[in-house]
Amino acid sequence: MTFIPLFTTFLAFILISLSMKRHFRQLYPMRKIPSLQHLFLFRLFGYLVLFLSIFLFISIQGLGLGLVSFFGVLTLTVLIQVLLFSYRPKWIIVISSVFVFLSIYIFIVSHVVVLHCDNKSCIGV
Amino acid sequence: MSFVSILVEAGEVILITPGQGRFRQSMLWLHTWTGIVFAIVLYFIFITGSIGYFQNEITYWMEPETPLNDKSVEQKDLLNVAEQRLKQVAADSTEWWVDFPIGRQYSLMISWLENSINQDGSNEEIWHEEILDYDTGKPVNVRDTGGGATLYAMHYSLHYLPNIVAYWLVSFCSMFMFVGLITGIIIHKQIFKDFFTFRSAKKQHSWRDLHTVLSVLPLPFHLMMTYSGLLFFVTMSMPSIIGASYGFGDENLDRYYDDVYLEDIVQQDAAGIKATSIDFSDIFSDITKHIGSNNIDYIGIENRGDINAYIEVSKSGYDGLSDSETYIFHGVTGQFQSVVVSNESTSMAKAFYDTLFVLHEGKFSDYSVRWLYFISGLMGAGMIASGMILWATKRRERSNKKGISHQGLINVERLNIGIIVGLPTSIAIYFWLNRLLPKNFEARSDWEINGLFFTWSLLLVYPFLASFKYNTKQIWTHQLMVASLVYGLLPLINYFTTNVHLGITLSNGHWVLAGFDLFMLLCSFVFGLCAVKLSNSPPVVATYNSAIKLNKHEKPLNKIVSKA
Repeated sequence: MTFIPLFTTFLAFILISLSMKRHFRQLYPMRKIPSLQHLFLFRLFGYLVLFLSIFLFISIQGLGLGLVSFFGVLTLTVLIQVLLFSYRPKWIIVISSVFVFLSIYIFIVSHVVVLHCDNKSCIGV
Repeated sequence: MSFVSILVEAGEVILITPGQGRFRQSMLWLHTWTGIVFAIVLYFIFITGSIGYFQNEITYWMEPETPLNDKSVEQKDLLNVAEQRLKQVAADSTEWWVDFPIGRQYSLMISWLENSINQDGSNEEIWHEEILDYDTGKPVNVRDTGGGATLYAMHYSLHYLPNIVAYWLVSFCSMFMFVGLITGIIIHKQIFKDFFTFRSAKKQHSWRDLHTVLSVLPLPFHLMMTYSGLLFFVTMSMPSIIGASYGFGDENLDRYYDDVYLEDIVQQDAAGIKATSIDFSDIFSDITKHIGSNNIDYIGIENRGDINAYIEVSKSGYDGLSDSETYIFHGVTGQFQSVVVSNESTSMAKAFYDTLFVLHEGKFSDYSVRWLYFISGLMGAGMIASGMILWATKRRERSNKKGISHQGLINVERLNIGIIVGLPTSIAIYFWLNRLLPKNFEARSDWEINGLFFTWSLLLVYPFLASFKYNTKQIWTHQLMVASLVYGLLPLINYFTTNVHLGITLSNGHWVLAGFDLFMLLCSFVFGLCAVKLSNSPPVVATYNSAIKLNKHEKPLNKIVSKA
């Protein structure tokens, strides 16, 4: 559960980078660069997911700690992305897909576990 | 006519958006020159500051005699052990304190105040501290070391200088750090377009891209740190603000502090009437009712032996961004008296200051956020280092084209090596000395630090001497290899000199101590990787030849030609 905001921040920045022609070409070299409208949509969604990740950080850790963690995680994830873009751009799509999958999976599992854990003792999430 | 043209020029400068024209160029000049001039102090500040986030852990590693005790011991038993010892050695003392091994404290420590009368009748107060082994209840003789705290203190009070001088120097340099940040933002035209850009292959742009990445990515961190760092010194660097309302001088400053800082704990003076103080263990169950079990950070009694004795119990953890509550109990009856929530703000200004203070020091942070702070700090140090290298690289390229190079550039190139690689190496030597200096050597904590600075001075001088035989790239490789060696051998030295080496700490799950050794190995690997990559990189274009190649009509200038 604590990793979901981290994954979300990563995905947000990938979406924002997809809205830039230079980086779209790095991530999807075989495709045609989408039109300006589509690029704008990428950027819009990127920022929306970024705000979602801020919201997740704050809702899990509280306002003060959440903002601090957000900025710290932002630094770290974008650093990793910068390095990936320079040296291993092909890994980025794979890692992003894995993160999307993991986020959904962890979310479902943690909530399903909570649903089943009424009176019986259950593992903490 | 000329007056109109002056107006037009002025208008141009004012109205043209920042990012174009002369404004941007002058900001670039400011950024470049304040950057390189203050780089050494700022690099030092960033490195020691980043280290400071783990000062408790570093001190723990540097005091290997600290018992590796079982973490699951109940605080009730720890309190019993501590109290037994205190009764043994400090029966007459007026103040007792017990620090529990909770959170980022790694030992059970007792301290007490000894009041003695000097020969001339004056009162002297001596503080005693002991780290206890909670299996035997006996004190452990821990080696005298500066630990991580000394490294951290150098972050704001440098070393060897009187405190005030150091504070002024650090404050002054922080101001230029702030100037560097703001000018850096102004001159960075494509801050969003180039957000993810790092052109590793292109020689000309690589150092600039690295410098940009390391500045932009942790930008919130840098801005917050620099601004809050400046604020720490504000009562010293801007005394007129307080002076205008309270007057100048120490007495008036004290009045100001009295007004701003609420007295946290109600200070009761000793009444002079003797009364037996209650034991900590007697009120332990009462404490547990208030703060839960195994939650005590520290417990202490003041005015012990007097009727006005009071016991302070601090709850572990943080309440938002400030310290958690302190509970006061009566020292004779054991009755619960009050709760004090520390750091209550008297005003908006103080709340603002407190928030920045807590953010700068990251006191509230557990391990994960602490690592984020640490990494951001190292990125800041990297920002300064890459800036220094960028400064030298750009000017080297220009001077290669022109065929001459200034002594100033040569000096900076050589100093860069000693500063950027030399400082981490000397810090590793500090850790070496902690293990190698004899335990009973009296001034060992002083000489650990002297060793750090002595090594650093050697490493600063080495490039100048070695440049008679080697070129700059080779000297970089030398120092990087030395750094790699010094860090890599540290766990080995740990193995031979103590019994808290990796073999034991890894197998017993003492992650803090193991983490230190593992991080040393990581540093060694990184330096080694840099050294190998640098030595394998294509040789620098033969600048010696191009440097002396002059056009036919040019006379050889009487300037120093670099061999780099």
